[in-house]
Amino acid sequence: MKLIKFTIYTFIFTAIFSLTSCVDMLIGDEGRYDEDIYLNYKTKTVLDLPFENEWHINAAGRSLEENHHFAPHRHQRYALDIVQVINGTDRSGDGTRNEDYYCFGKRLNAPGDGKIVNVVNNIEDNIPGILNEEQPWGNYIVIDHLNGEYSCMVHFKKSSIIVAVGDNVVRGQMVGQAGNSGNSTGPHLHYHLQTTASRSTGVGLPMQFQNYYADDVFTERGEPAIFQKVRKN
Amino acid sequence: MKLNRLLFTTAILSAVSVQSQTTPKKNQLEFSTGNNFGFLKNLEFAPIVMYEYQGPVYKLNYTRTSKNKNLFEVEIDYLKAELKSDVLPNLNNDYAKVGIGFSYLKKIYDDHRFTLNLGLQSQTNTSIYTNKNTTFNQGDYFTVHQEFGITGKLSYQLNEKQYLASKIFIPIVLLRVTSAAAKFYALDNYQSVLWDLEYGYKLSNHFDLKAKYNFNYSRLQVSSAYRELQHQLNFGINYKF
Repeated sequence: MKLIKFTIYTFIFTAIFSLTSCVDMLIGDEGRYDEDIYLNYKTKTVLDLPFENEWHINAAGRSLEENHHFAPHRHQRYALDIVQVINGTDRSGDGTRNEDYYCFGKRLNAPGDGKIVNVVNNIEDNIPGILNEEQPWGNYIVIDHLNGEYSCMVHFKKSSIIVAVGDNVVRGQMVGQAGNSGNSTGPHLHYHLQTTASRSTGVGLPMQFQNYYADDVFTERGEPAIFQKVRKN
Repeated sequence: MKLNRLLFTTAILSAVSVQSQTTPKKNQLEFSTGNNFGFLKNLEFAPIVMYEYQGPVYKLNYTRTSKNKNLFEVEIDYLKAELKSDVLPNLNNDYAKVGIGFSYLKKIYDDHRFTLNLGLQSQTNTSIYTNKNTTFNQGDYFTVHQEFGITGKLSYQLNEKQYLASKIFIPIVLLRVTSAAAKFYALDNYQSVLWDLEYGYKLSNHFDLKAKYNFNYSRLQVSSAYRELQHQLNFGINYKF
């Protein structure tokens, strides 16, 4: 009987010791890439702000406090939501029509050189306040910058996209107009950079734009922050 | 008449009381509390290789034992802690997890000292990640894991007053619902084990004291990887009736 008890106690202590001492192995190394991106990533593509005149950053940043995109969609972790604000407001009228919003129908440009790899252009624009959760991106394009970075521009106005899959685009070239399609409560541009063209495999990347003004201060290279007013020149 | 009723009631209660002190109890209600040492990776939620968290855990367990020593168990547990990362401390978050498990275990083997039960278990775990500063978030991030699998329990009577028991649960299928998606997974993508080991000391016919160690591990092999490891040490009291 003593031998049985000794065996049981030995097994128990060995099992618990083994399990408590191999945390790193059990949790694994996945996510090291994400951590490194968060801490050190420098955008490879030369990026310009993808619009004309002054716009306002409604969502940006590297935490849930600042940016509702940060979770749970890994591919759009650092995404921006951008609207046009004039005299402190983003709309005229009561805001019940898309046309009330200053950015609706405004020109949008390719932020960097690349090739168009995805286009959807036939989704109806929403009535402000109503979401289309079935087609969350609505009308959108994906640009392959041919360096492992893919720009995703989302929520275009229906039928406003003027580029097609396979087209090469250059930085600043018009690609369509801002709209309110997809999972969007009001007209705005959603823009983010990711590692593949796919929503399921892409990992979100921080975006550093070049030569722009943030709250009237010239920025040679930087990431727009929430509530900033930004413009190219 | 009243005296007769009083005497009759007293006699019945005495009989029940005597019987309850001499026969095994069918029901057990256990409350235990202790500390949880946890490690978490959830790339859907944050770009962190490993969060660590530590905090109190509370458990309530009900077990019903049939005449044939088959077991029906329900266990509810709750823990609350702060997810911490040394690498990115600005991404620390509050974390709460509630679990509820139902299991039915049929007696397979029994002698004076050893009892072995095998059966099926349903385990539901809900985790909520909250951050009081998420003013722009549309709501807290959550995950719900519904698991179904096989379970086994081995009990060993050390002597008249002391015993050891160990229970293991291996999920076969997982339904995972998160703020982002809902999907089924099987053993090829999802591996998990919940193992506990308890030591019990009989205080009286109605009460036991227990010390318990829990090892919980889950690994989901998807692009937004999820892994969680918990070591829990608990102390509890068991009421038998």
